[in-house]
Amino acid sequence: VREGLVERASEGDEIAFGQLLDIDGDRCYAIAYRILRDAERAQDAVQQAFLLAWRELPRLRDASRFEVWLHRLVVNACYEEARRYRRWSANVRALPVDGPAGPDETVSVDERDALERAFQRLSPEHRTVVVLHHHAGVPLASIAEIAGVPLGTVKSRLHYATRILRDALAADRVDGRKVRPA
Amino acid sequence: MNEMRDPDVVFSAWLDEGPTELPSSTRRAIVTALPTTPQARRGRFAPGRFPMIPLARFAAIATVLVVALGAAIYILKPSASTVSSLPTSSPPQSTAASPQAPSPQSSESAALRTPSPLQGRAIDFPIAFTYALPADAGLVVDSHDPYADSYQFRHPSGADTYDRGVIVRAITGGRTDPCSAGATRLDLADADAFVAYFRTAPTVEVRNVTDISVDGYPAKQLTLHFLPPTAACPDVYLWADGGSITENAGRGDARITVFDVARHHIVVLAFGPPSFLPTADAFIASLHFEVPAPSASTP
Repeated sequence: VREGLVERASEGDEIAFGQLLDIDGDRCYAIAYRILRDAERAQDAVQQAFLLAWRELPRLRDASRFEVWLHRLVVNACYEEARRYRRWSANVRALPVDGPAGPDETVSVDERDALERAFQRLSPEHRTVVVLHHHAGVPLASIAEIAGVPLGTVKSRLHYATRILRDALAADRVDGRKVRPA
Repeated sequence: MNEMRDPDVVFSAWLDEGPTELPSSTRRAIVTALPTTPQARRGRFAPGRFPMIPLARFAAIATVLVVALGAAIYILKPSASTVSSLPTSSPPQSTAASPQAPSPQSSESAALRTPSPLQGRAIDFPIAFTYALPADAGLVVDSHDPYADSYQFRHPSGADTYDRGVIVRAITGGRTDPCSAGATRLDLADADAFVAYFRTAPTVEVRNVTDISVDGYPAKQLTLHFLPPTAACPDVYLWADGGSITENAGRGDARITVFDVARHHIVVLAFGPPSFLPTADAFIASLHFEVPAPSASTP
């Protein structure tokens, strides 16, 4: 079904493209939000990615690769947003989490704060690998394709990022045992 | 209690928090923008792209075969021109490009027919080209290139930072308001139109406009000098494609070379200290776009 929609959209069918947006929009937004940790910037990134997809769709030779191609556009848009964010909004704090998938009781407030701070220190490239792997469940080989880097790079980025996040959790647990002022 | 839980479980649970639905306002904005967002032309070799008229189809196929044969002879010729130092099998630049060797994305990039080691990097660049990185310049292909329509050659000055570089982009036009990231696209006919457009940006001074030639294509080269940002123009978004021009070099001077190749606007942005400009010029002089010469393609 999707391939048919891609074919129609590549021939200028806006309704078909709208249906592709219905199919892929939520997933792309969820990925973008988790890379950028900012709802508005994630919306901007998704909008840029979909409009670029619309513009460049006629050049996509294999409709079956639309999803990977679209994810790559989303990731690229996130990189661009992140770079702009770094330059102009270095002191802006990420918006609080909201939406249907609200805070999970598995995660304590302190852990959430520690993870948030550690995640913000990761580069967009590292965050992308983490989000695609842990949240979206994308195989590493496909992540390499989406991110445009070799598989080995994906693995090393995932290893590095996971270590940073585990360290942040471990440090939080040590701190958690300390007596804190009321 | 915390010590008993797997950190990966905690981390995954945290990562799954947050919104999962694209807001309807964004959805509407995308759909609303479609009618005013032109689609690119289809790839000339993509399946189903030939007209249904048998004679035209035959002529198109014959043309493709002749062009392919000519290209093969040209590429395989042992004593090629200035770009012969860039053999397709093992280019000298491969050390710069090899860390990011062509990715599995090549099914798209194959349409580019780019024999350069850049193949597989940008997915939307409309014209194949080859290049030579000046010796000792320290330029490498930016492995974090976030754009799909550009190639970036930068000099690393630290972790994830660059102090100079050259960026080759395909640009579809300017913006109706170069101070706004959300402004719509402004069609620009040629290099002269780009120069006139640059002069309309409120916080930009256009300096040293000269006529040069890039790979035989007439080009305009100039310096953009950025004045301090104002409330009305906090940043400069010259291109319809991508972000602000100051992302690369801050508000330091930027040297721009703009020209058209096969009806595509190509912009080369060089940024860095003045001493870098000769290196940038050497890079620009090495560019070779793999399309028929302008005289041959002009009707």
